[in-house]
Amino acid sequence: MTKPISAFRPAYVVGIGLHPYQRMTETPYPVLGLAAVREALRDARIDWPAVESVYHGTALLGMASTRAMLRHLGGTGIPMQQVENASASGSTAFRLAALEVATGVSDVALAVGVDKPSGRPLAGSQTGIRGIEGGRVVPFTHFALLAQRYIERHDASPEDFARVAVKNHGNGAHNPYAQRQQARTLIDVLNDPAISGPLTRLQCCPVGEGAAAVIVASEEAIGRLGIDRNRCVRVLSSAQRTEVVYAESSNFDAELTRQTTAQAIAEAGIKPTDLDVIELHDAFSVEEIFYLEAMGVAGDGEAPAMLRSGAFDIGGDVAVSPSGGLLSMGHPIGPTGIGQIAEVTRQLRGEAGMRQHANARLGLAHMVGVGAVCVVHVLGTP
Amino acid sequence: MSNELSHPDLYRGSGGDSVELLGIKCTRCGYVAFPRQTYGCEKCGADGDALSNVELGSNGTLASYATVHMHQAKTITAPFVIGEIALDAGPTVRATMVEGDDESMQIGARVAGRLHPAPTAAEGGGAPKLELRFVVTGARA
Repeated sequence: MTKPISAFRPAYVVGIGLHPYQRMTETPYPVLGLAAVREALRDARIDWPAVESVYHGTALLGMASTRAMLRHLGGTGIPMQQVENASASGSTAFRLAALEVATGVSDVALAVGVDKPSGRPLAGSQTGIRGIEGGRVVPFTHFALLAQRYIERHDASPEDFARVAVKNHGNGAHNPYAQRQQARTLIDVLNDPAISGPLTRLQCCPVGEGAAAVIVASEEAIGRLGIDRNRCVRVLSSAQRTEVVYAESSNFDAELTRQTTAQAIAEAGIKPTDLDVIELHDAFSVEEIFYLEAMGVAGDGEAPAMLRSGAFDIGGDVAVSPSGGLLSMGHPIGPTGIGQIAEVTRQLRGEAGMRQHANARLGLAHMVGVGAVCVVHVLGTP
Repeated sequence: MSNELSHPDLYRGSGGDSVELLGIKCTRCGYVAFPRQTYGCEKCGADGDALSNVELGSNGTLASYATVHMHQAKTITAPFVIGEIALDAGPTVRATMVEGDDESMQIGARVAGRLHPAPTAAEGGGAPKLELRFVVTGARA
């Protein structure tokens, strides 16, 4: 019989670290990754030899990137591997690290995400099957098409989507790791250059470089290594799914999110409305609206009104994208899902400073990846 | 209609203005899909002879649209309009619209495929290839 992660021994996030997300520079990738890993080790107050296993979420660096970076922490001979799962690469690396600790294979595992932009095409373009759009439908147009459908179905307006970018840039303005650290008004967002359909530039996430690291440990390791239990956050559930053939008229990304989130929420034994903090895949502003409704945090067509009322602000019903989300913090691909876990952990510890959502006890992290894949985790205070 | 098609594996002219999209139907589960492939049915996994070639026509309903204002590829000039078309035959496809702006776009409008000169002329100054685009043919029912 199969079991969810919650049926095994508890796994905890005990350390978090980031290298700021930024526009691509000449900085070699090990510099980014080592900064994040060393910060996570300092945060957990443990030394590198305590780490027993590494999962490295990276989509763009190429073959054999992990040891070439981590050998500079001193070789300990532990297993290391790259995990590629499109935009959900980091989330998948975290899931594998959490599963390894929960099942007892390791006591301390590191999930690290590092990436730098590359011009390489997706494997999907090499399947030998091509469409009729001739490369003219890139992700922002995929979501622009879904946005126009939403406008029609719910009598929504472009302002409803632009407000997501206003909220998330407001949050990211207080995040020292964010690629875009500037608050924006509704006028700023609407008057920004048009990209596709109702989406303006500030409603599309910046894809740059960066790194994020999270250390997962067992109860036993926490005791043995003297880790501060008050700063540990428990992994309550982990769900991962891929797309199936949905009804032709449906929003495939939202359907995939609906199924994967329902599984993660059920395994955690909570309701969507119990969540205090959500980090989700807002690569484009409209996605936040779609996914909040698909998750059951908002009713069908109700997310725009809730957003206007401040329900998704830090201090509202549930803080959505308190880090600034992909829109403001940025989306360097491999690091993104791990950066979400770092933000949820910071919020549940009560250490998020200017971005703190008061009394946060339950948090959810959600990523989708092209192809299409979805990974959702629920974390809770012990 | 002597001009060469950009993608004869995906569609063909069928006299006058008409265009046929070339699809497949799974004889095991009934799923109709575009484009053609022999790897296996996305719904049930049947492959080989289970996937039979069908013609899907090109009439359908506009399910969504977007005016694209910028594109990274140097070979693609913006702006242009992308339509999402729910074909009467079942599959939903995305394609460039003949119309250069979205003024006449209305979700639910009737649309049909047309063979349209591709933006880049063939090398040596020959006749441009014909690519599939869609055009609004009637108001929302």
